[in-house]
Order: sequence, then structure tokens, then C-alpha cells
Amino acid sequence: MSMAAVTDPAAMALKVQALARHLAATRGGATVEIAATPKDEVWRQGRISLHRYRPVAEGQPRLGPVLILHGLIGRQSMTDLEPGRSLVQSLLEAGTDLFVLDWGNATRADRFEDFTDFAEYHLGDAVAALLRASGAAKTALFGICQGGVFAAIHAARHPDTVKGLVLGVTPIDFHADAEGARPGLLNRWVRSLPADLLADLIDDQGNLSGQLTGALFQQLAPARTLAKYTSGLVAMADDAEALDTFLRMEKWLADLPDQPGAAAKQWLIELYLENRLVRGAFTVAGAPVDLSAIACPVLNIYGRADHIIPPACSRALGPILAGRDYQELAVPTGHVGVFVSRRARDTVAPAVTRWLERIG
Amino acid sequence: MAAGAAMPDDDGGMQDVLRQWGEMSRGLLEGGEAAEPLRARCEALFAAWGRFARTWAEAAGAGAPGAGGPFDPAGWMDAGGAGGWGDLWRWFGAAEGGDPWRAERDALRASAEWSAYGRALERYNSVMATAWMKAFGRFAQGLAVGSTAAEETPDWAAMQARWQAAADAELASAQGSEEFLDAQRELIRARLACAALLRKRVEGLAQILGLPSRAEIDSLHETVHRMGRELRALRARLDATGKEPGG
Repeated sequence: MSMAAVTDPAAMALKVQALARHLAATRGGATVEIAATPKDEVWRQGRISLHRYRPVAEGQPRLGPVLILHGLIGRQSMTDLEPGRSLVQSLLEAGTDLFVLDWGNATRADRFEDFTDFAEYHLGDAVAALLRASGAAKTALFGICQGGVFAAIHAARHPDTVKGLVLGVTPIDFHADAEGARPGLLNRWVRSLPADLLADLIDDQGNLSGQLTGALFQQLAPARTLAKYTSGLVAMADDAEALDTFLRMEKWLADLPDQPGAAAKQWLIELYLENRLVRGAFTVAGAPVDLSAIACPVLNIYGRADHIIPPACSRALGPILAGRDYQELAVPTGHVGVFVSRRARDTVAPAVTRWLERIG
Repeated sequence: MAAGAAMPDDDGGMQDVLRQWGEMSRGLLEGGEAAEPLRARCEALFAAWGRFARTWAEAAGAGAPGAGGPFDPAGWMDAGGAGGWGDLWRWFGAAEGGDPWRAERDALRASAEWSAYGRALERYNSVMATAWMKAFGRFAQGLAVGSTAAEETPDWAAMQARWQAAADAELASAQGSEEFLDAQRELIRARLACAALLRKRVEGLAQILGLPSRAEIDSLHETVHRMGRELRALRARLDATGKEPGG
């Protein structure tokens, strides 16, 4: 786009009109669907549910089963944002028996749920339901961000039911970035707050508000955030496909759930602030978590330009599992881009498919 | 001071003030129509009061470096401020007695916390505004350095990308600075203090109206959560022994 095109009032007016028409046609994005790949609920426990995707490949699924689990911060719909850029679709097309765990909407009634509830009980119940539904003896876990921490803890504690572990943008050593040239801004912010203030911040509302989390993410790159909703929108005004993609992403971003207070305190204080997981000092179900007990093959995926979970924080699992079946995959994107960008579609899904083929 | 010893009239102590009161009273009784000595005594009394006030202000200042004097309005408006009146404010505000002014004290505290929140927000905004101004500076500097004849009509998208890169780099640097982190910390603390006072007020109203408070509902949820854990442990034990519940 040239400067002349933008400064020309007539051209600008046409673009704004096109944008307004598209927004009106989609009722401000309300009609734009995300996570539309067909699936069926196979298990539910209160707000938490397990879904199995309907196969799209010919014949019986040849890979898996695989359970995708996101963290409590963003929704699992991110892996199935839109047709053509859906990690879920790619894995189904490769013949994977694919399940996804939905943590639902936590309310104040759930504020006392902690990592023991999520990584041990809820995830354990979901895995048991998956094994019943699929008839398999073990499953692979595909944990994303905080969901990767749940998955890693579960794999370390239950080698009998986990046959493989895929981690996506998952922090293991929360302080690994501290000495680097570019420490993660989010990490730095959390580390600058004393534990009592973090606890008060969460207790203030009972849970860690999704709205607050979203505002923090936006604050990480304020100019980019401003540009996205102004010049960025105008620039794509006459590209309906790009606008739909934008609206889908916004729909996902606007739907950040609240994180139960007890789990949020452990996340921010015991992990971000005190970095207990990598030191073997993080306790789940009354026992310290020993990540070196992970016995299954591991594929660790991270974003080279991830400013939310800096690569060093994810890659810290490598030395812990030295000498084991451990692989890394670096994707040239940021945090969310690992799963929603076009480059990711060409990189992540094929790599996961090859890895699943190998582990059987 | 030994009995009968000469009492200095400029030591800044309360004794000095009281003595001058006594002198004035005696002057009134003995003076009769002699107005001049009485006026002189009154002047001495006010001078003594002034010395006393200065001494107090200096003592308060020594306890809190940078503090204002006893009549400094900052002492009134700032829960963390210093000065003679500030000290009185804290004395009144910190008390948790059974006196009849508890509601008034809560209102004063709320006012002080809101004031502190306003200042914390102002400071935070100031840090951020400075960062944005630096970002504009960095962007302008980049344009000046990077301009060539070929770029006389810069592409809009390229300009946008330059601005975004310059601004995000500057803001990331600013938002990682100790100054920002401190301002952010204080802003969070001040906001939470305000929310806590408001919550206390609302819980008081809920009690008057017979409504359950948040603490009571939280306690209920905690009990349900604990019972869920106990039930799970019980089921696990039963599974381990192969017995049905009640069997």
C-alpha cells in the first residue's frame, strides 16, 4: 500500500466502508466460527469435558491416541482456529485418533483447585476416559504452554498410561531467561512482584482474571497492539479472508477464561517467582515432581521469537532428559504463531506426525 | 530541671508555653489598667507557641526525611506523608478502638487510599508517557538517519513497520526498567488497598442486610473442595481393596 493511497481521503473512505460492510456482514465477528472441526463429547466432569474428533482420513486411525490439552490461560480452540490453518485438521488428515480436553469456565466456586487437581486428578480422569473410549493402553499427551506443564507432571508421575509427550511452548525453567540478553518481559514483571502482593492480586478476585491476563499480553507490545486495531485493520479492509482470520484470532483472544486462584498462585509464585519445577521442589498430590522420571519419548516444540515463554525456558527440559528419547523443534514464530501461523502448519503438524509414526 | 533553677524561655518545650500562659494570667490579675505588660506577655506567649510548633515540625522532619512541616497539607492528604498533622492523621487512622468514630475513620482511610491510588496511577502514567515520548524520539531519529533520496516518498507500510519496531523496542526497554517495575508494583498495591476497603464496606452492608458475605461463600466452596478430595481418596482406597462402598 502506498502512502498516497492511504492519505487520499476517497481511498481511505472506500477502505473504511469495506471494513464496515464486512463487520456488519459478520455481525462484528459473531458469525465467524472457530474450532469448527466436528467432534463428540466422550466424558464430562462438571465444567471439564473431553472430546474426540471425528476421523477425516480413510479407514481406522493409524496414529495415536493423542490428547491435546491447553493451559488454563487460553482456550484449546487455538489449535483449531480456522480451516486451512488448523493443527487439529492436519493431524486428523494424517490419520490420528485425536482427543481434546476443555477445562471449561472456572468460577469463584473453583478457586481452590490447584495443580494437584489439574495435573493429577482432572487429567488423570480424562486420560482414563480416553483409554476407555479408544481401547488403547496408553496415550500420547500434547500439552500447550501451561497445559504442557500439566502434561509433563502427569507423564512423570504416570509412566504407565503415557506413551509419548509433545510439549508446545512450555516453560520448564522459569528463570532460564534471566541471564540472557533478552529476558522475557512477562517473566521480569512477575519476578518484580513479591509473593504476598501476587497472592493479594489473585485473592482480590478469587481467581486470576482472564481479562487481566489479556491486558498484560497486550501490554507486552503496546505499539503492535495499537497498530493491529487501527492501521492494521484498514490495511486489510478489502481482504475478506484476512479479515476473517483476524476476527477468528480476536474471538480466541477475547475469550480468555479465569484461572482458579489456587492454581494461579502456584503458577505465579511457586513457578514464575520461585522456579520450583526445575529444582524438583514443586509438589503435586503430596510428592515432589521429578521431571527426570519422564520415561516416554518427548518432542519439545518452541517458538524462536516467543516473548511470552522465551526459548531457554522451554529448552531447559533437554538437560533433564539427557540421554533419553528427546527431540526439539524450533519454529520461527512467536508464542501463538507456533500453532496458528501458515509456517507452523507447514512445520509443526508434519513434525508431530513423523514423531507419532516413530513412537507407534 | 532542678527546682528553683532558671527556666529558659526558648527551649521549644511545652513547659515554655505553659510558663508563658502562667505569666500572662498573672499579668492579667496584677496588671489592672497596665495594658502594656499584658500585651507584652501575649506576644511572648505566641512567640513561645511558635517555637513549640517549629520544634515539633523539626522532630517530625527528623523522623521522616523530606517531610513537610506541621501545617503541610501533604500531611493531611497522604497516608504515607509526614509532618505534624500527618502524624495526627496516622494516629487517628491507625487506631482500632471501640470508639464511636469507627465509620468516620474508615471513610478517612478510604479517602487516603484513593488519594494514594491516584498518585500511584499518576506516577505510572508519567513513566509510560515518558517512554512513549522517547519512542517518538527514536522513531524520528531513525527517519532522519535512514532517509535517502530514494525514500523521499516512503511507503506507508514501511513507515508503519518502522514506527512499530521503534516504539515496541523503546517501550519494552522502559517496561523492563526498575523505575517502571517500581511504579507498577505501587500501582497494584494501591489498587488492591482501595479494593480491600471497598470490599470491607460492602461486606459490612451485606451483614446489615443479612446477605452472605464473600468470605462465607468462599468458606463453603473450600469445604466442598476438601470434601471432593476426601471422597476421591476414599474411592481410591476402596478400589485398592476391591470393595464396593458400604460392602
